[in-house]
Amino acid sequence: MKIELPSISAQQKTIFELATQEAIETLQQNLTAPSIAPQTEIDETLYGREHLLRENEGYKAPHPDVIGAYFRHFQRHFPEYGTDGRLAALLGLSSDRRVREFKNGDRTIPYGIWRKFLVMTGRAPQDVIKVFANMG
Amino acid sequence: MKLSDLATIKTNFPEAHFWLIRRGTAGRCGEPTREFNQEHIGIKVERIDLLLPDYLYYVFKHIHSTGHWQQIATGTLSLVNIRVSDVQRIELSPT
Repeated sequence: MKIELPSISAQQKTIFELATQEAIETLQQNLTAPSIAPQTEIDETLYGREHLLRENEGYKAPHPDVIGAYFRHFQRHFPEYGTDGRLAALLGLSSDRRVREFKNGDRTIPYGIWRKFLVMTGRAPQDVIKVFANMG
Repeated sequence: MKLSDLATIKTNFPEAHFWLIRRGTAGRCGEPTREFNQEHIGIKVERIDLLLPDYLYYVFKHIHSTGHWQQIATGTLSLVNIRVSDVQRIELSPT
């Protein structure tokens, strides 16, 4: 087995093209994701909806009750992420301790991590950034 | 030049850039994935001045799609595996 090793700029061009195609395919697949009944652990009307907004739209970090309810709801439906360690890995966190800290309110969940979870659970759309030019 | 000259390749490697499914069905064996599993073969590119991790990821997607790993995998009909050394000795040819 032999593979070609082109210049770094040619590699970057290939990455750009293939990653973009892959992203389009993923976005198309996302449109056919199954629907699951919402969580029933808490009454969400008591907690506001600012945690569903973007940072420049008035975002406020979610209450720990909301984090716990959302996370447990997700973990029940996707047993492969049923442990805090596996959920941490899915969200790109260093350890299961972080997940527990977010759930019990000992630490504020970072916007990026929370937004990623909202996207994964169909609660927020993904942002696609316009490319003005290839300048690298 | 071999791939092992530019990258660290081993199992149980959570710090890797991506992983190859080492053991599975003939169709999935050798498939690259972004999700860590200690059984998978982890690949971390050390010479990113020569080889970009994402480029290598897409190269492995292409290699998998050609059926290359099915030809060299060993094991039973339902469960086959590839060796770390199979990945390490992949040749790189500068263009």
